[in-house]
Amino acid sequence: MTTHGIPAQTETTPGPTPGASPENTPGSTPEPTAARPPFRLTREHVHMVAELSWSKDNSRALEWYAPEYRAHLPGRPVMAGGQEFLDTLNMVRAAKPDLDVEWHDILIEGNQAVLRLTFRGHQWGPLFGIPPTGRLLEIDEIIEETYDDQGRMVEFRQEGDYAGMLMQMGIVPPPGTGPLGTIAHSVRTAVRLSWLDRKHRKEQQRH
Amino acid sequence: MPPNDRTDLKELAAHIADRVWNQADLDAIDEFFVPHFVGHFPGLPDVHGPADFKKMAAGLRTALPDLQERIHLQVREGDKVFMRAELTGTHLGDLMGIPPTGRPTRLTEMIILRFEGRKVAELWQQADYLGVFGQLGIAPPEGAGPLGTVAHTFKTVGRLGVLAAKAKIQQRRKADVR
Repeated sequence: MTTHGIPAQTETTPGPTPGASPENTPGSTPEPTAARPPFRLTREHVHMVAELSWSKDNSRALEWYAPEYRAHLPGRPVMAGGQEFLDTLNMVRAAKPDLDVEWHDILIEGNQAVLRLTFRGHQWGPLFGIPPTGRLLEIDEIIEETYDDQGRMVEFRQEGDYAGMLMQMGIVPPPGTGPLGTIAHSVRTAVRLSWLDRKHRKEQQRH
Repeated sequence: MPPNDRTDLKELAAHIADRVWNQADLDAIDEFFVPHFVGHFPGLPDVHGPADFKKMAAGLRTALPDLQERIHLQVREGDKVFMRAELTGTHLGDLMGIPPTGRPTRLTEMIILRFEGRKVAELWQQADYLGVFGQLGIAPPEGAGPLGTVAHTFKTVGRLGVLAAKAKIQQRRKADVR
């Protein structure tokens, strides 16, 4: 995954601290509270957790997810624990190997961060049960993250343009398609997806 | 209490949302949105100016006359306020081209407002529209498969055709009574 630059901090928030300080590393030997500066959420921290989570080997990201971590994605059961969430990111990355994330905005207040992002990538693998379409998918998202006092994420919530994604995949007809056009589109889509599914299975058997 | 010059932007954002969505007071859009307002909504061209946004809000109110908004969380930094909220209402009018189904709907949404002074200059929204399509019976059930999806489309197109005809008959009846 490649990511574009982090949006600038606004004047009302204290300036960013460079990276995550070792004192804040979860799992490290606990130090006396007095010696440990309190964790303060920064754009750099949010970006670091995202980079690790989307990296090829994202096992290093797991320590940044609290045991009680919960991820709420629209229309899906709540995910419990960081591992399940990281596995889902691996599935998305496998489906879209050229995934690119454009960061438009980050808002931070206390231990909460809000991200506005665009995810771009070609769908070269199955995604949520849809066989590879080879199409470029561009999905706008808003994400809300909550961190604990050690810098670990405890909650993740997201809304994204998934209706738009299905349209880009050619699953949903474009807006304004009439009743007959919708039926024709549905039949065409069923045939196309069956063909794509067979093609994908054959390719997998070859490998 | 009406907002004043010292009202926190989070409170101001909640006040505006309450006026527009819960009190159906669309004049609040003229009062609290700048003339060069731009709204970014998924799957739609950008909305330019308060008049366009009022039109959009009025359309939503016609589709869901008992529309209510509940804010769950706000985050503010600088001139921007984030809100996680849910909109509920009964589908009694045309909604994004879908004729009234009479079904209850619940849309979870996340929005970011950018203020210029005390007025909204820009808005970004992401929301679970697919979830609403499911609630209205438009989206095929998960795991329907290719043939199941086609069958669902046939059924849905037929059902929506009947509902659209019903809505037209009701409109004509109302017009005749007048």
